[in-house]
Amino acid sequence: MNHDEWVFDAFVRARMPALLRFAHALTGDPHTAADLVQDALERTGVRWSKLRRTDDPEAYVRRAIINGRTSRWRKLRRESLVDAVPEPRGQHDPATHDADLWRLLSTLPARQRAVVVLRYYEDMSEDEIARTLGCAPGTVKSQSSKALAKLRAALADDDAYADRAGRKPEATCST
Amino acid sequence: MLDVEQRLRDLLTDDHLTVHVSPDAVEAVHSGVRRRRRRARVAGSAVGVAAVVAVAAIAGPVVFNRTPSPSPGRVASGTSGVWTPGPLTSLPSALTTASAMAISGGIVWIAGPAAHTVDGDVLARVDASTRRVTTMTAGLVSDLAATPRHLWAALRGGPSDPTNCALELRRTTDGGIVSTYPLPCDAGGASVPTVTADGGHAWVATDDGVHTYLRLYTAGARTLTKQLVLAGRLAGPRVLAIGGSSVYVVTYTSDDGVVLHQLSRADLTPLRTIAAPGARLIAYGSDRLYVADATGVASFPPDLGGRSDFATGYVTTLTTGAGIVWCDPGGGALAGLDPRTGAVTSVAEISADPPGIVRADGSVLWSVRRHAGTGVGVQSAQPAP
Repeated sequence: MNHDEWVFDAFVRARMPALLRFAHALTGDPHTAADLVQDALERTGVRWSKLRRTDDPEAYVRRAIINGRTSRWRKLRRESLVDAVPEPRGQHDPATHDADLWRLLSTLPARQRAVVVLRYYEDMSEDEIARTLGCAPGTVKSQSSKALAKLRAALADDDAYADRAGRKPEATCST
Repeated sequence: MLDVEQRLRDLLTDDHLTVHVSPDAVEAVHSGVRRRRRRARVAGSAVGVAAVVAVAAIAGPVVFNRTPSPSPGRVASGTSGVWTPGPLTSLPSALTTASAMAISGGIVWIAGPAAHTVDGDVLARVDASTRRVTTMTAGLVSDLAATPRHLWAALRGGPSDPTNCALELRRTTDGGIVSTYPLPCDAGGASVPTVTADGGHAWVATDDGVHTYLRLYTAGARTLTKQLVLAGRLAGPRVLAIGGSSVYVVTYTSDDGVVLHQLSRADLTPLRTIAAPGARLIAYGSDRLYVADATGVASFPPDLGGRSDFATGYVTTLTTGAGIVWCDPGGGALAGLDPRTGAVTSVAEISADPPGIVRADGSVLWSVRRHAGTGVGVQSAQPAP
């Protein structure tokens, strides 16, 4: 293993858990996350000797993950829907405290979800998100505001439904 | 109902999002890289052969000339090597000078002695885009480290309680304190804890006059995550750095020698210790560790496997960023050195006063300087267009 490969190996070992977590938040699915991270790290490894001089190869990996996620989302959107979903929806959902919000996140378009994850998981500013996504800060602002509005409206609908039914929607499994 | 923004933060930082890393994941990445390189070579050869054939068909025999390699020493392509200063942002008069600075996510944090008390400092938050300054009170800050989400402040003991060393975790949005962790401290008040951070973790080094305590903290945890105790005192206030998968710290030995330790950044497992006579400042960047002593700066590979002389002369500032190593050789400007050759390739026309309070954030260099004899200001420099 030469020096470059040694450094890349150390980078992968150190950052892979955090990148997987980021991709999981972005995609909502740990298996897709693992695929995207693998693909992004392979692309990074090919360009490593050039990238590592920029001081922020992790930003490159994040962009590659986001772009990979967007490509997959576009491809899946073009695929035709079938009546029965082969796998029960949500089987990979983590046992999170906020299942409603986790479910609603998956309904956001790829770009809006990326903005939400970068903002509320990575805690990036609008300028940083714009640089990561390669768009204008104004676009980030509008995408963020659309995503939040959509989530607020959907959560309010859920609450209204629960009120009408006299129970919380997620209470169906409880006694 | 909690606001959706708070619910998003809680949800996205939930432990359940953690994905198990399979044992063969790293090797799978290396295999993928090798496979892609092979494909690229095959594709490149095919294109090259086609191009040569096409050129030969048009122009006859092809003569290959070696393309002159780019001259060494040029670091930031597209720049002239001169970093020009931006406007000076004055800090409130409550701050008499600066003792620590950290930058992340476009927020500059500066701590320094307060004008009217000896038991507390002033902490200033400067929004780099708007230059809006807000201040708050703090303990006696010996060092700061920032990430986009967290500000970590290492505190030394004050005159009323020399053993009151601590690490504070603050929010970057408003500087509010989230957690305070006590640190070991020298009873004589000589401890100067130092901190560095990345992601949700902070690495802190402090000493009690006899031992150096290297600790790993995780944001949100109630107590420290890992601790390693090393024989001997910490060798100064700027001798802690993280880089790659390691953390580096310099300590004195029992017979006043100086040693440089390399430890695993994940669990502080000792990896290597080498003698580093006179080491006083360290910084990590461009996959090298830079160590300054009284006569110059040396550079090491990440595994400390070989020492190279990097620069000569006494430097008071040593920091890295944007692929450049920045030193302060005196004379009111900062010199930017090529991380491989040590050649001066950039000059930033800003001074660091007090020395050492210089940090790089992407392609922006920040320093603190006194102005008009009494006040303190923060100033940035960027590559000239």
